[in-house]
Amino acid sequence: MNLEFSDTEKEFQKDVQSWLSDNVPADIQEKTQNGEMLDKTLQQKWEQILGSKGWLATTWPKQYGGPGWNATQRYIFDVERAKAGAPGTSPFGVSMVGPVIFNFANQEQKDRWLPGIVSGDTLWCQGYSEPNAGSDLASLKTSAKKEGDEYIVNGQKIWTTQAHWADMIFCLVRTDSTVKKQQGISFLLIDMNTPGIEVRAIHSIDGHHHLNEVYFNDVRVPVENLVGQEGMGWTIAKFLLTHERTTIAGVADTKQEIERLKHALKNTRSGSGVRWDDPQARRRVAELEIDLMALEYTNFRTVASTDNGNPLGPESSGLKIKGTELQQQVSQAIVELGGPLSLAWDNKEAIGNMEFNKATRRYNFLRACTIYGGTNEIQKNVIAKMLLGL
Amino acid sequence: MDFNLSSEQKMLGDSAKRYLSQNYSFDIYLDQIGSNMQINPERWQKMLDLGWFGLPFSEENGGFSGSLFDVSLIARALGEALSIDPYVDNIVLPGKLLEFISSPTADAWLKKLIDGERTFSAAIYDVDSHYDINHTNVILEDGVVNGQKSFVSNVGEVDYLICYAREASDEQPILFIVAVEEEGVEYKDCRVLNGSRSGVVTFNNLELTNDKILCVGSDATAAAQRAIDYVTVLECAAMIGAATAAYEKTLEYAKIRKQFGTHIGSFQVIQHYLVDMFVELQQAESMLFMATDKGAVKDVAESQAAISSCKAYLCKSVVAIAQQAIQIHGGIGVTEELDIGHYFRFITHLSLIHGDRDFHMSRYMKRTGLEDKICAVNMA
Ligand SMILES: Cc1cc2nc3c(=O)[nH]c(=O)nc-3n(C[C@H](O)[C@H](O)[C@H](O)COP(=O)(O)OP(=O)(O)OC[C@H]3O[C@@H](n4cnc5c(N)ncnc54)[C@H](O)[C@@H]3O)c2cc1C
Repeated sequence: MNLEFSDTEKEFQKDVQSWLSDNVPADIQEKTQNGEMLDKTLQQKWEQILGSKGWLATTWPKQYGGPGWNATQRYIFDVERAKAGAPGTSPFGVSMVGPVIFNFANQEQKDRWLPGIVSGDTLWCQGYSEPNAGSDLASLKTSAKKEGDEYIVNGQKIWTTQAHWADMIFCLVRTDSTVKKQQGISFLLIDMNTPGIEVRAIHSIDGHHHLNEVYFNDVRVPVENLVGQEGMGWTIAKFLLTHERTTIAGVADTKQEIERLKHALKNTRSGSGVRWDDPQARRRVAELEIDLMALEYTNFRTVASTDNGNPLGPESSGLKIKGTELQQQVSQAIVELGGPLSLAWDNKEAIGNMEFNKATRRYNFLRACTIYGGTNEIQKNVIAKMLLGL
Repeated sequence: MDFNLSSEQKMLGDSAKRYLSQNYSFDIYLDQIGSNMQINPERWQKMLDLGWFGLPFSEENGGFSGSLFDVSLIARALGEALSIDPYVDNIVLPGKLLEFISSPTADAWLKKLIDGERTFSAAIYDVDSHYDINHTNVILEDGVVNGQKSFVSNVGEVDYLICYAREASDEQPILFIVAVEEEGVEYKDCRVLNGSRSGVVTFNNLELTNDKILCVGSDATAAAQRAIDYVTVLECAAMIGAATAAYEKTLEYAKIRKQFGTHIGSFQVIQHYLVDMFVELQQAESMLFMATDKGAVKDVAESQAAISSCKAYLCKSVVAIAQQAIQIHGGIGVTEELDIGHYFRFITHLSLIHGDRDFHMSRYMKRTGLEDKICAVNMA
């Protein structure tokens, strides 16, 4: 066993650090470090900067425009990225539809869609969930009926993150309602500018607009936009779920959040000292750091095994569960340790400390992280069945 | 021991619920959050007519001598209805401050509060007080006040502030009263987590005549501490009210939301979650009953230990109930459209004012001698 980075990995780390220190725009850095949400313009600006360096689609093979990094390099990049005050990238293009396209699509489709994802120019969203198909995704009803060289799409998606930003949506649609539920589903790419699509905002309890309902009313989609064959949608969806496990734990950003908490405690006056003087606060930080360490080393094990070409081991299965729980715990600790300062909601000037003032919105939003991407209850059901054989 | 409510208490609780079901709703709440109108004149008048303004105060002061438990029934009903009408912040807290000061001047102000003639807010904390009321840098020197107070509830809608400060000469704490309109008083306010408004008040060479100084010395600290302890119990009641509603709504939802061809309440994990919530709610309620009784005793150490143990317990268990309510709802639970997420914010807000879990844990340890014992063990 050797738990150190190799010399080449350390070298790589230095290169990443120096590039980041020159290339993260100040406005983006400031907002991210304050825990504020970026608007579309800033988010896309950052993704395009990464895109022009070739560092946006970090999981992709070189032939499709990825940097060809191994999992350890990706991990190093992610940690340094968060440390540098740069935001994470939107997963829908790079982590979701991209890998689907280069694994399942034909050459024409690859040529058409991959470049826009690698460059950060095309923004995507994910149209899976429906009002009555959440955890039970296979019950989805949005239909796509073939008419000549077009599909006519009707139905409704919900909880569609960033649909109001997106140029494209990848959808699970029902192309056949006569077969077993899972077998009648297909994977369709739809241009958000197509007539018949209507996007309605849903506001989250952090007061922001992330989510949407997307309505399809006789939307005409060329058959060339079908990925794989009709009926392959469920297989593709399952592939996607297991595709990316090394960043799903959110280690890099959680690590940064803990650093932010320490920074905030040290810089918030309290009585004749600072909040950091409070031993209970420091003990809480220590607890979070230890929990993070457990997650981080489990994550390393996963990373190391995939780098060696081994299949994902059972240790990786809990990463989403533990990672999201820890994200929630850290955000809750920030709010609770800020005390009354965390109650501020829409102040323009800092009340005590802006980091604490902004913490509550994030805490509110992160209640969702154990729900999105498949709820933690569903994750546990899957592990119980697939891994424990229960 | 008797845990039964008297028939008067039952009537009080029922009438509070009835009033709220007729005069408050989620839609009203949605209009209210973030708006500059937290004190709605119509509902304020109705609460006055119901006798709520007088309930917490003694008959000598023109009140109805309600017990802490009686008043907790109202706070609880408000919490259950998700009402952010600032009854506790702008009636009970300033009123209790005035009552505990217990001087003819303070009594005269209290009468105006009980009669609904004037509105008040308490300015106790500085931005860097955390939860320590003793700490303040608002200073009275040669009849002039300078400094800044934070977390002043709905400052833009009240007539007077009752402010905790200290004298420059001998560091003595004081409580003074000042009109918000007065020259030398400026404020800025913002929305806070539960949707109400909170202000930062700056005193800039405010000239203070002696009749505005309500109380000096340890009496001022004691009055402020007692008032805060009193409303802490009411916040616990409001948390339980809100958690009860969140629990009931979640239970209802588990019976109607269908996935995989059946209602989600048929999944064992969801059943266990709901059972945990149900059981925790009983526990939390027991703590509330304990605190409304023991919190009102004369012995300060005993009453503070009771109140702190209740708040510390609720900050853990009731917050967990609120989080679980969201989780069981899935996506709809994190939206502004549904009340569940708002109950969560409401509970979080209450868990962070006038002392969080850490603060009340330490105070409990101090008041029960646990802290000394820990020191002794460490020394050995
Ligand atoms: C912030 C956010 C962003 C999202 N972004 C997207 C997106 O971009 N695209 C997209 O398609 N979707 C998105 N989603 C939707 C998300 O995937 C669903 O919310 C999730 O799958 C749960 O579905 P549901 O909300 O309908 O809850 P339900 O499925 O109704 O679940 C309700 C509760 O029941 C539990 N439950 C359900 N079935 C079982 C079972 N068999 N055993 C035990 N417990 C069970 C759940 O765990 C949950 O606690 C997002 C959701 C959120 C909150």
